[in-house]
Amino acid sequence: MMAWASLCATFAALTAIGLSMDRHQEQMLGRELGADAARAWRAAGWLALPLAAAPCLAAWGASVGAAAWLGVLTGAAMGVGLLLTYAPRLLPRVAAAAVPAAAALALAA
Amino acid sequence: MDFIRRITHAQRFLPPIPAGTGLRGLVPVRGTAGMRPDGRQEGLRQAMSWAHTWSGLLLGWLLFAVFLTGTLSYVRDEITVWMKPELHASVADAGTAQRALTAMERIAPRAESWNLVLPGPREPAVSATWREPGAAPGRAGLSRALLDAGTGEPIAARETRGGDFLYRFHFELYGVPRIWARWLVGIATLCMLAAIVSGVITHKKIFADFFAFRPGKGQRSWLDAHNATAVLALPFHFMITFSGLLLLMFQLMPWGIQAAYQGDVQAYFQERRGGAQAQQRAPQARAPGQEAAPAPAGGPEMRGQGGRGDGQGRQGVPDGGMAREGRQRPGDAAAAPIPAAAMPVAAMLVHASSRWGGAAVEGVTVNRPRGRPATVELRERGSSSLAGRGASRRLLFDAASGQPLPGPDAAAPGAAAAVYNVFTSLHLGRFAGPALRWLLFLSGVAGTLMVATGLVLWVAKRLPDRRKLGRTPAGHRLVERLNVAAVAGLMVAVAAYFWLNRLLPAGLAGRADWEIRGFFLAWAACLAHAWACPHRRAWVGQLGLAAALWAALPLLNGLTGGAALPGSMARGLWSVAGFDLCALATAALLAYAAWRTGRAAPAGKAAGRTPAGTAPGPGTAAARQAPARPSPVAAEPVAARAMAGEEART
Repeated sequence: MMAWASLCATFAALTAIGLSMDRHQEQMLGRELGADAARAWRAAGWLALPLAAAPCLAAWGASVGAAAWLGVLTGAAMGVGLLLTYAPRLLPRVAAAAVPAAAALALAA
Repeated sequence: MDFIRRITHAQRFLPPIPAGTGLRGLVPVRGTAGMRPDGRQEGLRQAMSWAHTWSGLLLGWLLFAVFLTGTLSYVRDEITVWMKPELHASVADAGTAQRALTAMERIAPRAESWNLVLPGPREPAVSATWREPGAAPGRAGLSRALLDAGTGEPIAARETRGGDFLYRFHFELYGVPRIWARWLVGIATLCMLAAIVSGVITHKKIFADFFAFRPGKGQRSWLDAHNATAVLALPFHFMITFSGLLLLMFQLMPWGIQAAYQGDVQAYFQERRGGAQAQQRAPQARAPGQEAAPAPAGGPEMRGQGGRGDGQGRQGVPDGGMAREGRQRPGDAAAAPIPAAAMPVAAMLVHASSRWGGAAVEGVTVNRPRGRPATVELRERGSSSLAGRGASRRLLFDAASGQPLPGPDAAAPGAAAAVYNVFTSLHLGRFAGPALRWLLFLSGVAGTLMVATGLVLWVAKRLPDRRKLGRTPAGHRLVERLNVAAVAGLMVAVAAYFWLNRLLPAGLAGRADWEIRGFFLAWAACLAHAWACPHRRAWVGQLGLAAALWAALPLLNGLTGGAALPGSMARGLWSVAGFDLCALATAALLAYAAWRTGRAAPAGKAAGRTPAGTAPGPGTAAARQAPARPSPVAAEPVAARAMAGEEART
């Protein structure tokens, strides 16, 4: 359960980081955001990443949790990469849905 | 990206790179030494790119095999179970431990201890080890048996190395002296680490193109797929190569230990193990209680207060010492032997499980000095920390009354040992539950694809040159052939290994060796085929053959005595069902790859869109699609896609 919560949160965080990059903005939104918006997304994404690791650490403790999160990070990044390639417009919506999903999963566990 | 700018500035302080030459087109000939076409000086990134290309290519074929078999090692228990179909009928229930102990009384009445590994999600049968009185010390003296979980009867399973062959191959290869093989793999691992670092520096747009994958664009797509499988799983790749080096560290740099211990390396390992953790299992040992070699440091002191009367006031029996209990306690010959049937094992299991918050019991060790059961030790399944290197919680019980006895505390490992333990446990995935094991497995698949795409990229990148040249240099042809044999050929060979497991008669003398010989014969045949056939035809042929072999594995399993697919799923026998499902997924990927390779070639459809104009040369299309498939057992679409070279970012 916690692994899934972590996966959803990591997915959302990586999408936010993606939204800070010109090329990926173009893909997801069809336009480029300004420098301020890009900076805001970047900050949000990097701040969310450690938060996204929290469910793994809570469930497994520091050593196993960190390893598990590296796996989660790989899986989430692959997911973002695939969606960005084949359904870029869908990605921000999926990521937006992933945020409440992560919260619900973490609270349910 | 600032740091990259800074790095490129550093270029002018670096010595110029020597111009590469010759080897019949294999090594790039650089026009004017140290100059780029636009006249600027070669920079650090070019140097790194050069290092990355050549360290990657020369060891890439070996690294692909290491990554593929290493990834399969995450599921080696499942592979071994699949390869012993005699075990598939074993079904565990609450009475399994009791039945197994009763059977052990019949099988090994004189043994001084019995060690049982109970069935779990990964193994359906009970695996028992014991040491007959007077048997040789160490693992050689252990007797082993597999017991049916439902009946307690010994199972005569076929002789096979199972997943252990693949596991051993990934760091010791085969048929090469072990020392040399470990050196070779160690050097390849070192190059891998260098390739990871140089690859990151070389990847100009690592941040801008972070998630990018642009499918159907020839060389660009291969590059994207290579970057995506590398960058997105970078923490995993770094962890796995670095920890792999740590695991080989004692092999590669033994001098410190040899000097400190006057050449007695064994003493070092014993001291580290014993001093840091009297409790812990030796690496790869499945039967800790039996692992001979009592820890010299931890052992004697901890046993200090052991009482004489069974079950009275005994403290601190370290696991290494248990097998020797008999010699320590000659006084209690008077105690009546306890029949296994009278041991309240079921109650002990319930007690232990509730003490551990519901965690299951994996191991049962009965200590029976002079054939009389004295204590029963239960071991938790799995472990809660990496620092303890797989050490799990234990409980000690009195064999007759079933009362818990005070057990020894595990000593905490020192800081350096803890770091070593964390990294190496990560590499081995020993701690991993199913979810984590899958994540590691998929990351391993990504790594396998990264190596494969890198190999194909080398060919794809040189196609324009080749077209300009009007002929194919011998070096390019060599690389193409080795790519086919190393990537597609290995997929065929692994499938052949599984096929032979079922086709060779179960009673054949030396059948385990024949399975392995078959693996190498199939691989050699693939190399010969790659040599004889045109490049694309070789890819299509071998990918197609591999797809057919993998696809038929579940069928073969059902026809040769294994638990067939729908039934094994219904029974929850996931070790076998999971193997069959992964085989089907692998077959689907291989078939897709073969189809894309065959189709893309003549039309050059994908290439047509490439501005850079990677025309569909013989190598291109094949190269473009081929390597994509070799995802090992991979069921996962992401890596698969990446491989397939379909995703690209633009």
